[in-house]
Amino acid sequence: MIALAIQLGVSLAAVLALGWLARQMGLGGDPRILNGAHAIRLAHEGIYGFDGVDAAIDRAGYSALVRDGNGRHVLIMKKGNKFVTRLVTPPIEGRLDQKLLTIELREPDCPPVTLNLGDKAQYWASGLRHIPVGQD
Amino acid sequence: MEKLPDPVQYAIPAFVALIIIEMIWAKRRAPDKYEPKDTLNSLLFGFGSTVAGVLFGGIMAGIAYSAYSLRPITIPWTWWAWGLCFILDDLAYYAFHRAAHRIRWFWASHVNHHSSQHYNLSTALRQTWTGFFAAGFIFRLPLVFMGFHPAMIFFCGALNLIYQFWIHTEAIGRFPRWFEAVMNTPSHHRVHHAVNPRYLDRNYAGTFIIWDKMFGTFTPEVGDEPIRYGIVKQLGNFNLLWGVFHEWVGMLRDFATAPFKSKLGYLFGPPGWSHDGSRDTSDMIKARWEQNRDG
Repeated sequence: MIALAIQLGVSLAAVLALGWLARQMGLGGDPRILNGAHAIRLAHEGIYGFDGVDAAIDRAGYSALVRDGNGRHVLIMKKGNKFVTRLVTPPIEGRLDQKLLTIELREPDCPPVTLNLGDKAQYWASGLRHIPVGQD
Repeated sequence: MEKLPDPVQYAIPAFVALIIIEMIWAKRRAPDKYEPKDTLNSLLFGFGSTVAGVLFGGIMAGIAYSAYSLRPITIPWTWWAWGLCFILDDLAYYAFHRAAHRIRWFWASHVNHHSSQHYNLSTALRQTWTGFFAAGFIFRLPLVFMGFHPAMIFFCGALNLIYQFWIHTEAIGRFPRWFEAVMNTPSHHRVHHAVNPRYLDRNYAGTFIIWDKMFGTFTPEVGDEPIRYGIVKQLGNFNLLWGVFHEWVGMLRDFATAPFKSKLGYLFGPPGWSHDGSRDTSDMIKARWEQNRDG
């Protein structure tokens, strides 16, 4: 029993050491969403068949909203050095605070996302209010 | 003859050393191949899987030995039996692995191994905590009934697991054609971890890629399309417990809320199946991709 506990303790220490090493080595990088075309490509890759026609990118490039011809929206969020996409479906919890648009997807693994969209924030907030129901 | 060492225990120092070597390679050539949070997450999956093995391994061994007592014949403990056992265990692994991708009950457990958006040696250690509950070990029981000793089967299974470690890398391109034709390789297994529509649910092999070729599930890696790794609906954060249990939670929630006639479909249908067609299975995604490709 003691031998097993020592073995598990050493394993856990090795796990933490490797995680620490990955951080110390500066692995990962800090990719950003570069432009509308990049956001549209990410949305298409994340939700196959989603063909975006318009995109709004957060000032820092960490997140974006993409709209397709049917008025559907995809939210792109940064996760580590990758991006995660979600189709935005009603009911939507959204808050507009001047240039900041905050979207809550009500999914357990998705924290609220705040996008700094500048002057476009109100336009995209309006778009979210008119997402067609049942088109997911 | 029944007391065999666990080869995985002996391989762990090599696993750690190879991960460090791959990190050094990544630092020099492609730093984005590793993400510290993802790496720690994957390794904690592996650690938890080890703990789960300690907790439930005895029960699985008990089931295997009970089944062995019902065997009609006994395969002797000889050299050819080892070779045959390894090959048949690899076939059993293929069957399990295919079921793990095509039946949501098994996928709820196996999804843990696929939920990283990275593909490196730490991903290999990203193992499930809930394999015992999914009961994937039933795929090895036919070998027990055939008369192979459970200790031999467990040993061969462990060797298979060790083999599969090193193929989780982007640091290796392709091997000579003869090797790629027979063995599972980093190239073949990158396809398996990909979410690009052309690659979904392909290359289930453990050690020998021949099973995929025999049963029509083989797809080679193409050079001109960057691979995206992970699952169709990527996890939104690095929460370890959510990562471990999210598919079980989703499946049981669907089961609870589905119309009575559809309930079993949410347990034993393919991942993504829904009674109203509102979600996508990998077959549906692939069909749309093929439709677009063919014009």
